[in-house]
Amino acid sequence: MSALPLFDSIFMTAAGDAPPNPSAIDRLARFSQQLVQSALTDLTEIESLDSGLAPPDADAFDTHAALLLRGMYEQWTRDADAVLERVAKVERMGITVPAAQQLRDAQGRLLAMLQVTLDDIQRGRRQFRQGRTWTREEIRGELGSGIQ
Amino acid sequence: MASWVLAFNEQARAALRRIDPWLQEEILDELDRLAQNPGQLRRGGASPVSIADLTRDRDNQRHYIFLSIETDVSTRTLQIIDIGHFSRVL
Repeated sequence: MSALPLFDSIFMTAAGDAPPNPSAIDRLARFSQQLVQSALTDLTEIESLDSGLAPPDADAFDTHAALLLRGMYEQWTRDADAVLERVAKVERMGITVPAAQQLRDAQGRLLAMLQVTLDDIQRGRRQFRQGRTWTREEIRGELGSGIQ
Repeated sequence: MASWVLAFNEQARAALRRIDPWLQEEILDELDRLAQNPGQLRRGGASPVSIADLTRDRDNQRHYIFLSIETDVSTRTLQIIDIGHFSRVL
């Protein structure tokens, strides 16, 4: 994310002042909030592109487009990580950054999504066409006495 | 309206077994809810499957679960394709 060097500069100024300069702290808080909002907006835009490419049916999906979108999500999670790393430094100064938890949750959900690759999806669909399947009751039974 | 049927493939079954038992139960409960109301499933964008997710907290950890599901309207079945899981300290 191109604004990160700017954040780092603003942070150095605010964190380096002794005693703390209220106007530098206020500027850091506002900039951190903007950074978080910018990351969330970027994600909304990717999701909007993704929705626009939804295939008419499961067999007609565009593998290449899906792979490129996945790459965009992966890049976004890395960018979000860089933002969250900086937000954590700001929070350690006792400054609340609105929507920071929303960004953490959005990144967490995406990291769970990215655990399932397109190959996994294709393999999983093949398994339903070719292989053994398990019912809800069989799965609950298998997973042990703790689950009923 | 009768609930839809849930079906698991080997991949989803293996993914579920890698998850802590309490969270397995949360996932199965969520799938039961989806089977009662498949309209809650979202389209997976450019992906060929539908999706759902859930978030649960326990022991200072937040768990994010992602469900990839294919719907078979003719047999009213939700086919669980795979399950993704990520957790982080709260």
